[in-house]
Amino acid sequence: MSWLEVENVSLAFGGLKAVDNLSFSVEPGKVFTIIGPNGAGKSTVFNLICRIYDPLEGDIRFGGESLLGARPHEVINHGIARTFQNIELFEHASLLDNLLIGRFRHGRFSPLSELFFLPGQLRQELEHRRKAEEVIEFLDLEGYRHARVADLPYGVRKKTEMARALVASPEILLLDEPSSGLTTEETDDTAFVIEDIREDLGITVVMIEHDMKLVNKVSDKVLAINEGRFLATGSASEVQDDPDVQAAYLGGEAA
Amino acid sequence: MRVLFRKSYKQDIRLFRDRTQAFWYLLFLCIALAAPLFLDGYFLDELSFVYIYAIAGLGLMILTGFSGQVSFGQAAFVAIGAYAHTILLSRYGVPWILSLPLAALITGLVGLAIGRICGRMHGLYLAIATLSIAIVTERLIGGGGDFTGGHRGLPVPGIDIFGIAIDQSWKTYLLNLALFVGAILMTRNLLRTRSGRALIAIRDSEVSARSLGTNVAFYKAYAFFLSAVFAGLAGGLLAHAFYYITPETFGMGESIRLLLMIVVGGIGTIYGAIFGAFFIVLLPTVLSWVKVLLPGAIATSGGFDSLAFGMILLGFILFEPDGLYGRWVKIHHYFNVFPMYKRRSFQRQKTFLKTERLK
Ligand SMILES: Nc1ncnc2c1ncn2[C@@H]1O[C@H](COP(=O)(O)OP(=O)(O)OP(=O)(O)O)[C@@H](O)[C@H]1O
Ligand SMILES: [Mg+2]
Repeated sequence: MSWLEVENVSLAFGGLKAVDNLSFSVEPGKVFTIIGPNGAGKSTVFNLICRIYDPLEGDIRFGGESLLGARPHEVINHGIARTFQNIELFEHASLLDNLLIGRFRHGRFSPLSELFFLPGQLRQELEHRRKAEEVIEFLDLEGYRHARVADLPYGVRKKTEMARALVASPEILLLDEPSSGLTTEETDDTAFVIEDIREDLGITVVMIEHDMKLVNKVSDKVLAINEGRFLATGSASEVQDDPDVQAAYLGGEAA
Repeated sequence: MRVLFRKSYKQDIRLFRDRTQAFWYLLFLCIALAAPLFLDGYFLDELSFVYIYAIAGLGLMILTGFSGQVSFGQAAFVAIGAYAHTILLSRYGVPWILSLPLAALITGLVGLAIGRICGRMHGLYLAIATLSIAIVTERLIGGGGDFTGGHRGLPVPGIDIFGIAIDQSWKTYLLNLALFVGAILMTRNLLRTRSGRALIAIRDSEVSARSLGTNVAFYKAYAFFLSAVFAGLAGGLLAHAFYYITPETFGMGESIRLLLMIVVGGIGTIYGAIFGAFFIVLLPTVLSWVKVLLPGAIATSGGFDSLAFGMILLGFILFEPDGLYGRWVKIHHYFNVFPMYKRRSFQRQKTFLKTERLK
């Protein structure tokens, strides 16, 4: 059974084919990793899933339903949450407020109730807070709750972004380079966190990653792409041994 | 340093963090309520202006400080509120108690329409668009003929609430105070609930706000709506304070003054709007005291007030971008940790590199 399905999707920026007739599918409860040299189109795939871009052709389905009818802010309601390659946090808000925004989809627009803080609000706020605290504990962020995000060290900011996505209680989590910019210790920690996300929270993970050590450790399945095109898929070692993949990486280095 | 111990999640949600904080706020409220006992009419009127400007400032804070949409047109909404209220009162005989909320709502709807149009704009374009709205509104009111009184203006009827005439300084003072406190509470409630967080999210990162489910265009328009409601409310109250309104009362200069007000007060905080209102209303009074001490040639020259205002503003932008409130936080901290103060406490750690952003 496959769950998230990307089918013959293409996208071009001007003359540049960023994604070229790409297909893959992700199974529930797995960690699916996308690798590829710089500029391969990995982040663009995420942006396509999240409806930031419209594919020129092809279809993206989740749980059998096409996502192409959804507007970008509706994607989360399908249970798809994400992080960004270049951390996109709410810089001037506290870590806690960042996480509470993650709960956005679990509420409704009710202006009067909010402006007058009618009785239901307190109950709702406590519920959001309880969920946020669960994630804070899960990711060991206790010490930073009330700190302004802009003041936090890089590693913590990275974790905060992951926490914010988890607070939304997604079914599938898209992580764009979770280890980039982290120290070796932090990267090891990230590997455990990703395993826990899959095992304990039962959330499917799709990640883009360059650090092969991390990829080998946590991936159930790996997809390699280059110049927007499919190269290989399989287990981490199968993909790394693939001659096309090796050529793509070597070609990238030579260029 | 006083460390804040939190014992319950409710502490972060409730209006007051703890008893000490509740005590201070209630004390301030009592002093404000008792002010008519020890201040004369002149100062009460001045304070009334502070409260009214603070309401308009809170509106602008919601729009610019929280949702991140800069507006050079806030005075246009104040004007719409003032005119709607005055016209409802004098032309249609609507009771005051209905006319004021109605005027605020009308202003809000105009704001909503403008928000729908301006929602896609950023930075400079938004600044120009809102500035044009200020100019167009002034023109429309000026050209409104008998309906708006044109450039001759309109006299504003007195306040009458259920047959009680609010005709003395202390009465209008208390009325303005009540609405001012109401506006603060609403803003605070907005900030501690879902919509308020959505506005902050949009201000700081539209892409990720969207990825978490906020309909960015919708909430931007909502910010315009709320901001206009506050401005309309302030406009209605201001009309009474002026007794007579003309389009020029709410010109472009006034819009810029409101924007400067929240910058000086401290952008992005409720305190900022309040401190800014005190600053902008009381500055002329303070300057008139200062002028007595200065040589006649300087004091009587025409541009003195504008010059002083400009210099102070420049000072803030250069040395204290967090505004009066930011300065207050630092002074407060200084006394709390005395004598261990170090300037570095407030320096941002730059432990990360911001690379290209996905927009
Ligand atoms: N908004 C855009 N406009 C124009 N070109 C773009 C845009 N976004 C991406 N590209 C181009 O599309 C190609 C794929 O970019 P993408 O960001 O998906 O690469 P990536 O695989 O994530 O690379 P990296 O490992 O460096 O993050 C690149 O050549 C990039 O320059
Ligand atoms: Mg990328």
